[in-house]
Order: sequence, then C-alpha cells, then structure tokens
Amino acid sequence: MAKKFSAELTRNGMVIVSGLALGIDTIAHQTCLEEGGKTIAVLGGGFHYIYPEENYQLAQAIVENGGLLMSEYSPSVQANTKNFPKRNQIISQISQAVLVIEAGIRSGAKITAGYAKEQNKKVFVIPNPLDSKNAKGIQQLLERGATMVFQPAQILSQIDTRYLVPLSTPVKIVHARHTKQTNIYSLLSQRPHTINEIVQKLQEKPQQILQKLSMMEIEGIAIKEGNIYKLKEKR
Amino acid sequence: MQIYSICGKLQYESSLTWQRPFRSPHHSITLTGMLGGGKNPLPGEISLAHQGVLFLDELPELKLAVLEGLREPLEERKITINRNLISVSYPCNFILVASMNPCPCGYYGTKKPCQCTQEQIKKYNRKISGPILDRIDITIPVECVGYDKLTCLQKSETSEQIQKRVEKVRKKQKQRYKELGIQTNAELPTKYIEQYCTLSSKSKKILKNAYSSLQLTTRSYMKILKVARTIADMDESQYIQEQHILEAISYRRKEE
Ligand SMILES: [Zn+2]
Repeated sequence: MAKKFSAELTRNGMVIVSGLALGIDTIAHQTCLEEGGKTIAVLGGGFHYIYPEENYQLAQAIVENGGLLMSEYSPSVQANTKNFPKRNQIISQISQAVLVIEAGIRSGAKITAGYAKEQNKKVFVIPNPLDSKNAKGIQQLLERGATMVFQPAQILSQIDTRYLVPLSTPVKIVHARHTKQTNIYSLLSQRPHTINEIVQKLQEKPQQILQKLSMMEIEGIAIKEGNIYKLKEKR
Repeated sequence: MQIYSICGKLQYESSLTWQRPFRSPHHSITLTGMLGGGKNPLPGEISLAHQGVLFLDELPELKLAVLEGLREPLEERKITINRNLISVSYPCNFILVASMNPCPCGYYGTKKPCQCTQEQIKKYNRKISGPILDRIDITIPVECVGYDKLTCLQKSETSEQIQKRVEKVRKKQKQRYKELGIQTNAELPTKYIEQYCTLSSKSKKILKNAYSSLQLTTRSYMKILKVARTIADMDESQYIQEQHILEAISYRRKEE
C-alpha cells in the first residue's frame, strides 16, 4: 500500500516527506526515487549519524536526486528515539497533508497525525483490516476527523497543486543494506567514524586498526580529521 | 634531584629512594612559574619535572605566552634564565603529557551532542600552534570510559606489567645511545636518525609513499621515524617493520 500510494502520488508531482526509518518510511522514500520524484527525509539526529545505518545509501540517493535531508541537530548529534516525536512534528509541519498507512496506538505515524491535526493539516488514512494491530489507531484517527481514502487520486483532488514538482529520471532501486559491517571501508562508507567507534565495532586489536587506517590514508582512500576518519570524496 | 634541592622541596625520606617527578601545574600558571625566574632565579615547573613528567591538563587553556614559552625548552631540554646580570641555566629534560578536549564543549566526536559550531572548534584547535604540535610526538583520541569498559580493562595488562616493558625498552635505548650521551629515541639528534632508525625495505617504501601522499613536513617525517623506532623496540624488533611505521603514522596530528 505504501508503495502504491507513494508511486502514484510521486507520478503526479507530489513531494514525499518521511522519516528515513525502516519499514514504511523506507518504502515511501525508495518508491519516490524510483519514480523519479523528489523526497525529503527529516532526521532525528545529526548528519554524521544517519539513522538507521542501513539507510545511509538511501539518504545519499535522496540528496543526489534533488531531494533533501533535514535535521534540527548539529552534525555530531547521534540519533535518539527521544528526538523522534519532534522529528515527526517537523514532518507534518512541512507537509500539506499526512497520509497514515499503518498506525499502532502509540506509533510514530499516529504522533505525526496528531501534530498534523494541531497544525490544521489534512490527515488521510487508508483502510486496515479490522483484525490488524492498526485498526484501533485508524479508528481513533477517523474519530478525530481524518479522511479515509481508497485511491491516491482522492488525495490528489484535495491538495494545493502549486506545490507539485516536475519528475526527473527514475533512480534504479536503492536497496537497504542489512549486512553486518565487517571491515573499516564499509564502516566508513556509511558515515565518518572516530577511532574509538571503529575499535568498538570491529573485533580487532587497536594497533591493527590504526595500521590499516594509516594505509588507507597513504593510499588516498581515507582522511583523518582530528579524531575522525572518513572516506575521501571521489573526484 | 639537584633541582629539588635548590627549591627546598626535597624531603629527607625521598632523598634516598628517588622517584621521577610528576608535575601537574594548573592551567592558570604564569610564565615565571612555568619556566622559572624571579629575583633569585628559581627553577620553574619544567625544571621541577626534569627527568620526569610534566602533565598539562586542558592545554589550550594555558596563557598563550606560557604555551609558546614551552617551545625552546622542549627543543633544548634546558632553560636559561636571564635576570639583570645573572644568567642561570636549569635542565628540563621532561616528558610532556598534555590533554585537551576535542572542542570547547568537549563532546565533539563522542556519543553526546556537541553544541559547538565548526568555527568554534577550529578556533579552539588553532590555539595550539604548529610549532608546539610539531614537538608533540604522539596524539591519541580517548573517550570517556563507561562502566562496562572499566570492567573489561581488568582483564588487560596491569600497570606493573606495562612498567616492566617500558623499563626494559628504556634500558635498551640507553645502551644503544651510550656513545651519544643520550638516553631515549626522543632525544636522538636529526643527523643520527637514519643511522639508528633502520627501516625494512617494505617500511622504507611505505614511508616514502606517506611522505608524498600525506604531505609530511621534514619534522614530522623525523618524528614518525623516532616513534616507529620506539614501537619497534617495544616489539623487540631490530628493524622498523611496516606495522611499526604505519602505527607511528596514525599517531601524528595533521598540521593545518
Ligand atoms: Zn563541542
């Protein structure tokens, strides 16, 4: 459902805003990119700490394709679940309307919808099976004035067309990575790391890690900035 | 020991069993306090730390003049104080150990949120001038240690074991430099570096590549060699192997 709505809305020029989380968020961003659309991810931490790490490539793809990563934190702040409600508030604030695909009683989606209501934004929900864990949340949203939609077209008919964007070239499928990182290169390809972080994540002797990092520096693969190592940008 | 006698700080009981001094003056210390001086020129902290350790916490908090004043004694390992017509020279062969935060708030690069702007961080780091950094051989980032880490530390080497290893290596170095009248790799004059810091052919190649790709200054090149010599000594290796040179390179701090 997330895929269907995201694809259809994107094709009609809507910008998809979400929170880069695993699950619905990831599907929404990915589908939008695959349709050649623009998407905005609002982060719950700083840019050095893309969370979850599996979505680092996705975050990069979003920016490379004319989208936007937004964060109200300084770059070195780690993502923290405590920040997520505030992030959801921003998601709804910059959106015209909020579409809730799944809504557990205390889910992030419901929080976002709550803010949307306060901010006088339109809240849409889609039908969920009566026996699903989301049914109750959906019901509550409906009671508070959300609109039930069955087709993306129903949303399109209710939004301000001034904010629609033209499509660009579709991006080939961006896979979320689930592999556990085992070497320095793949760690650094996710984001810059301090030496301590690398030592903690890899079960190797610190000396060996330092030696490898020096080699990567000499070979022009990585650079050291203060106590942070990062991959050198390709030219 | 003589330094302590002059200051009247030598105590009876310690005169028999001499311990290397450990000095840790507060960062508000004056130039005279650090380098020595006064009406009857007395030794400063650097000379009280002679043959021992001078520990400076929060290095960038030192007065600029004091910080810069350390340059010459770090190089010469002695200090000459001129006061009116008197000129006194005190030895100050100390190991400088200094600490600083990664940024003004202290959290940059750690798990806690840093409140500083990039500009503030740069300004903070720039307080330690190139010439001072040049005289520091090893820089290591450390993070605050959590409880679980403290318990895992217990399984690692004890301080006594480390002390034994260090003493062994210092003895070896003293023996090696007998004819030069110095005791450690750090004191090795530049003209002897190539002679005593012998590289394996592989490590020679690595250092050559590093020199050009990392744009090392001659000074940091020499420093890396000396640190690598010490790492090789700890490893009981006659030649500096590639792993030694690579580790030494990682301890350098990039000059800006
Ligand atoms: Zn800071």
